[in-house]
Amino acid sequence: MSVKTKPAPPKSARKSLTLHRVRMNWQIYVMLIPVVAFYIVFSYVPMTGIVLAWKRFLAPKGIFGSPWAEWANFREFFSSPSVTRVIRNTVVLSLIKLVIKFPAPIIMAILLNEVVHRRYKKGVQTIVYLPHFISWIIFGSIIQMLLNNDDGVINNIVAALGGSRHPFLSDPNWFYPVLLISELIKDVGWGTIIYLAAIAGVDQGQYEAAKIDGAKRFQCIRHITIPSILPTIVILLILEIGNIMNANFGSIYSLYNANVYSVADVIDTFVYRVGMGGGDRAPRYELATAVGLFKNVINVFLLVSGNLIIKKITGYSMYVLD
Amino acid sequence: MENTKKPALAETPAALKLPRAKKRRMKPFDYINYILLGLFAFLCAFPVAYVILLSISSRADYLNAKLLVLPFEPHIDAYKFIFQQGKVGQAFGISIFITVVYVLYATVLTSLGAYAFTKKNVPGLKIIFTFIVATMFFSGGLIPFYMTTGSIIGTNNLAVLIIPFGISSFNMIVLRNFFKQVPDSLIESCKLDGASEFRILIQFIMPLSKAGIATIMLFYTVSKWDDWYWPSLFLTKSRDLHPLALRLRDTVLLSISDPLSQEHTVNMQNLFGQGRNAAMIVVTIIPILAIYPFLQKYFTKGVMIGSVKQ
Repeated sequence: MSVKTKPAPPKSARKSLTLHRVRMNWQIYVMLIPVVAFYIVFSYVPMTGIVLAWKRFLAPKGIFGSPWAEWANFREFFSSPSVTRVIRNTVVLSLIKLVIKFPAPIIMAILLNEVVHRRYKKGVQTIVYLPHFISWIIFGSIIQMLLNNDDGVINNIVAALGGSRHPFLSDPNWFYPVLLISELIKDVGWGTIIYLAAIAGVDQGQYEAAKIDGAKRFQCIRHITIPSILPTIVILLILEIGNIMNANFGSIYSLYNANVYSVADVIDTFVYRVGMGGGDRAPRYELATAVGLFKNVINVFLLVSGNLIIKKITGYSMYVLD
Repeated sequence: MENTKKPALAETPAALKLPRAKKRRMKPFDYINYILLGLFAFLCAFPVAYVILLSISSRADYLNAKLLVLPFEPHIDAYKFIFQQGKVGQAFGISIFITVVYVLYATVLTSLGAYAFTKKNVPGLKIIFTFIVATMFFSGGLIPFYMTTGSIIGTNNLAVLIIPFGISSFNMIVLRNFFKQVPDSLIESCKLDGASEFRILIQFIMPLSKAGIATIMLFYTVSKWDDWYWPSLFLTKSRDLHPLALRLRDTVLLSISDPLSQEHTVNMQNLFGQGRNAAMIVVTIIPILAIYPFLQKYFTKGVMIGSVKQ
């Protein structure tokens, strides 16, 4: 540290300083060997497989031996009948989530923060965090049971109230509400943790001072609580914008079926089905790769530009991107 | 402090108006707030409670139910059945094995990275970190990852479900923020005593960051225990190796079941399809429910500290 503050040392001295630091920290480099090796083998080597998007895959020749196909795979995706459907569904679902699911944990964290009885707050927290740890495949299965046409509780209630039983999960009109409510139940509680952490960092003296000045509760929320969690909100919003092309695969996969593909089929479910084949269809690795790449590029673009725009507006941004 | 404060509060009327957490009067807003939060908690608990009740109900309970299936004649035949018929015991064992090995492996690898990245003045560290963060946003995608890892480790074995998932960058950053809380002076004095970096990590940093370690172990445990996606891709030709989560997907979601064998000791009159599925779901969530209360205080703290930007 002390060396760093000296005015620009000569080049040779800087070089020897770097060498000295390398030698001093050789153990750190040894620690990093497995970590770096992991990332090279399981993140960067797979990235080279992206060339598959421009190839016609022949299994015996492998990724790199297969012949080039130029843009044929992309063209196939963009001219397929599914393309508008999956892109529209993905974007629509993401926007609905941005409007409804994104603010929900913020509101809930503020409400939790207003609870005066510690025990009640703790109890609620314990219960609402739990669904986060139950996988979508399980949660989705339970939702399917609850909504079952013949014996599900929801339909039992509808029938008891004099309504007629309805196959909610096979009805395209009901798919989004069902999906959204399921996602809210599963994720909102967990989502509050990060906001509660930010609220916990607020100096309690601010609230007391505000109350002495006669501030009402909603004024405290508006002028103290919300500003204190604004940086967190902004960062999560940027991440959310960078996720627009990823509708939640887990929730959709565990709740959808062929009857509702028109509204429920998204890019990720499409890639999974195309990539894995199944039924009488052979897996189309190259097509799935091209679609996956298309999605990823848009996400990175949205993330970076979202970061720029929000930084201009609010002054906050995601530090890893700057 | 407490003793000196109380009389002062009682004597000065102005001080009484201070918002003492427990003394505050409940206003209409509070009642609405409590009811809303309570309702939401009920919605979160209900699905789990529902499958537990369903799994121990008999067919008669099921057929007689008007609204909700309640176990008036509780029994565990559904559990006996799935363990005897569905290879659930075997899948359970495989899931436990994969999860335990994976969590140990991932925790060690993640700790090494998390500790290294707390260091300053290590040439090249920032560049490496940037390259790692980049992988959080850009990846080869499903198929390239599947094909390259498949060709490196091979498919239809358990190693391919463990080795390629050693580090989640997010967990590593969470843990790094934890490790950063250990004061530098402590590390320096350890170094003066001649301790190597490995010893410092194992004997000082990790024990001092228990909440952080517990948090990422919980995250890794849940991610592996719940994983059916990668097994469905990597274990296409070895159904015997399928973990519980994948078997659950096949039975409950896709309704693929193994042929019935004649050897079982279950009263079939007690069974119904939904009850069997519910039992399978309960078996899958029980390990999570069992560790959850013990780890809750850690992960709440863990997420809080881990998410703070340093």
